[in-house]
Amino acid sequence: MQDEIHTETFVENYRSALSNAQLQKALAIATTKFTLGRGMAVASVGDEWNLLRERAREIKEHSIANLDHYLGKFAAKIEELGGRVYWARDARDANAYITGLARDRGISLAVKSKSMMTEEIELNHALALAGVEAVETDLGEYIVQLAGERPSHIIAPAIHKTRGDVADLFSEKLHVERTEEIERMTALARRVLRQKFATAGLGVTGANFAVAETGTIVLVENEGNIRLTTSLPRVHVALMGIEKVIPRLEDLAVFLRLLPRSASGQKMSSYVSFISGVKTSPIDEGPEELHVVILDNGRVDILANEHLRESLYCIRCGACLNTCPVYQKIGGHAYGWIYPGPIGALLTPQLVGRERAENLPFASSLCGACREVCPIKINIPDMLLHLRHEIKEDAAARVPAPARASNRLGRRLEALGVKAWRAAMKTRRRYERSARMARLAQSALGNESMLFNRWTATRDLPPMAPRSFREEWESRMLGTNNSKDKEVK
Amino acid sequence: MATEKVENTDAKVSRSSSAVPPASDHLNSALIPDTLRLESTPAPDTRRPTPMLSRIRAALGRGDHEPNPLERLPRTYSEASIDDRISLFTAELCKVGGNVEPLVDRRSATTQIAEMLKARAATAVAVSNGVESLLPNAREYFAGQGFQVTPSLSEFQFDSSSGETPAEAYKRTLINVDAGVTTADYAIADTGTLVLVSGSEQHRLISLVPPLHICLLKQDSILPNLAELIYRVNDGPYSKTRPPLVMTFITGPSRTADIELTLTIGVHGPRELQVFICSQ
Ligand code: SF4
Repeated sequence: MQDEIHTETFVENYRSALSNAQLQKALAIATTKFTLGRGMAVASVGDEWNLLRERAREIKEHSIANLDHYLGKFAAKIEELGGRVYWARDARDANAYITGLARDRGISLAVKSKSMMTEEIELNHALALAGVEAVETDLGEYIVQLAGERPSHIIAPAIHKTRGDVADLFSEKLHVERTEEIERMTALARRVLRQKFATAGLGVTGANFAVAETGTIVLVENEGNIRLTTSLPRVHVALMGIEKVIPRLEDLAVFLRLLPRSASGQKMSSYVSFISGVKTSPIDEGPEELHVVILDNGRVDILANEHLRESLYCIRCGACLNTCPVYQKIGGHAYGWIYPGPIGALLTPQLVGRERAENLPFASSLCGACREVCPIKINIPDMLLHLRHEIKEDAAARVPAPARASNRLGRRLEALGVKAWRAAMKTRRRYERSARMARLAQSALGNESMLFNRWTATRDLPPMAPRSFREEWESRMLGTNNSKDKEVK
Repeated sequence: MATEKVENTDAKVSRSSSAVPPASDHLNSALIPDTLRLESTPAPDTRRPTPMLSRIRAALGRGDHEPNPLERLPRTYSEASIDDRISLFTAELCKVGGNVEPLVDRRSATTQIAEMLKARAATAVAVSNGVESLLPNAREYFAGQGFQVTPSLSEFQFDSSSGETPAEAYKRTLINVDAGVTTADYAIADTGTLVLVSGSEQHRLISLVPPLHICLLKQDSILPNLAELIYRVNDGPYSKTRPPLVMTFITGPSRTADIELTLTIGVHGPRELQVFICSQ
C-alpha cells in the first residue's frame, strides 16, 4: 500500500479520470445503483426519515459539543470492562503503539477489516516496516490491496475495477486459473482469507460508533469479516477518531436505521456487532485482549473551528459521494487522498493541511445535493464556502507586500464595480443609460484593458451587443412588419 | 455440501457425545459472577493522564461541567400481535436471502435439522450449549444420526505436546464444520434480524464460521423493532454496568457486492441461514 497524499495534483488527477472511459462507465453504473437503492430504502421509511435525521443531528451536535465528557466516560467504561485505552495524538503515535503491541506478543500476522481510520494513519505500511504482515479481509479492500492500489469509495473500495480486472489480478497474484465468475472469485478469496484468519494473532478494526454509557464498540458490515476479525485472533485493536462517541445505547436505534439505508440501501446490514469489553472467563469466546486506540490526528483543530466543527458529525455512509455531480464524473482517486467526494473535499484540507489540498473545496458546484442526502444533515456546501474563504485569506496573507497592496487595490476596484452595478440596476432609465456608456467604454478600451485584466484572467468578458434586445425589439416592431417577417424566414 | 477445508487441520477432535447439563436460563446468567472472572483481567489504568481530554475541552471552550442529558428517545410501542410479528419477521428475512420455518414444535425441530443436514451431505456439526436447553439431548440425537458433533469449548483440553490451547483447538476444529446450530435470544420483526447475546451461550463462532447456520428462535422473543430491543437490553435483564460481552445482529447470510456491485452470498460468513421458529 502506498497511501501517499496526491491532493496537490488534483487537476491532473481529475483530467486523467475524465479521459478514462472504463472508469467513467464503472462510475456511472455504481453511483446510479447506489443512488437508486438509497432512494428506495429511504422511501420505505416515509415521513419519519426526516425526523430520524433531525434526531441523529441533535445527538451528534450534543456529543460533539460535550465530547470531552463522553469520551472520558467511554474510556473509563472500556477500562472497567477489561479493555485498554490508548490516546494517540497522531498517526505516528498510534502506529507505534500498535506495532509495539504486535512486537511484544510476537505476532507476525494481522487481519484487518475495512477502516478509514487505519487508511488515514497508513497502519499497513507501519506494520510491514515492523515485520508484521497485515491482510485486508473485506473483499473490496483485499482486491485493492493485492493490486497495490487505494480504495476509491468509502463503502465500495473497488468499484473502479471490472470483473475482468479482478480475474487478471487473482490469477496473477494467487496463481490460480483465471475465471471471471464473480461467485468463484469470491469463494477463492474466502478460502485464502480463511487461512489468514486461522493463524492471525492480531485483529484490527475501526469503530462505527462508540457508546459512552456502556463502553460498547459498534461495528456494521455485510461480509462477516469483521466478526471473524473480532473473534478469532487473540488480540483485538479497535481504532477510532475522537468524534465517534455517542452518549447512549438507545441512540443506536436512530443511527442504525439511518446508516445502512444511506450507505447501501439496506434496511439493516447483514451483521452488526456490539462489543463491550473483553472476556472475563476462560470459557468465553473471543480475544483475550482489547485495545481501543482513540485518535486525534488533527480532529481537535477541527473542533476548535466553530465554522467547521460540523465536519465531525459524519458517519461515513458514502451517500454524499454517490449523489455528487463532481464525484460521479471524477471518481474517488482524483481527490488524492482516502476521503473522496463532498466529505473528502471538506475533510481532506483540514486533515492534511489546507495548503496541500487547496483545490478540493472548489471541486463542488455547491448544488447542495450532498446536504440533501446526508443522514446527519451536514451542511457541506456552507462549510466548503467557508473553507474557500479561509484558503483565499491564507493565500492572500502569503503573497509578498507589494503584490498584497495591488491585491488590495484590485479588491477595492471590484467593490467599486459592484457598487456601480447596484446603482445602475436601480431604475430602467439608469440601466439603459449605463448600458450605453458601458458599450462605449468597451469599444474604446477593448477587453484587454488593464482595468479588466484581473477580472478577465479567470472569467470571460463577452463583448456587448451593438444594440440591446429592447432597442432591437422596438425598432422591429415599430419598423415595417413585412420586413420583419422576411427576416425571420 | 460444498465443504471448504483449510489445510493443515487434521482435526483430532476428542469426540464426546455426552450431553452437557442444560445451561441455566442464559438471560439471567449473562452477568458472570466475579468468582469466574479471569484473574488476569488488567486493572483500569488510572496512571495515564489524558491531556487529550483537556485539549478537547479547550478547543470546545467549555468548562468541565456535566452536560444536560439528552432527552430520552420516545419508546415506540407496537400493537403488532405475535402472529403479525412472526409474519413480518419471516417476510423481511426471506427478502434478504434467509429461510424461515415458522412454528415448529421442538421435537420436530430436531428431526427437521437432521434432515436438512443429510440433504446437504453435511458430516460435521457444531451445536451450541443454548440449543441443549431448548432441545434437550440434541447433541446426542445428532451423534446418533451419524454426525460428528463438535464438543463445546469447555471440553477441549490443553495439548501439552503441541502447546495448543483449548481455544485454539476449538477454532481449528470449527473451521472444518459443515453446519452450526445455535439459538437466538431475540429477533427484530421489521428488519428480519436475529439477535444473539453472548453470555453463557457460546455461539459467536458457531453462528459464523460454518457455511450453514441453523438458528432456533422462540416465537415470543420476536420484538417489533430495534428501539424496543435496545429498550429491553437497557432496562431489562442486562445491566448498564456490565453489558453483555457481545451482541450480534444477523440479518440474512453473509453478502458482498464488492465486484461490480454484484450481490454475492457467503463471502466470509455462512452462505445459508435457516431459522426455525419454535412454538411453545
Ligand atoms: S457527510 Fe453525510 S452523507 Fe457524506 S459520508 Fe458523511 S454522513 Fe454520509
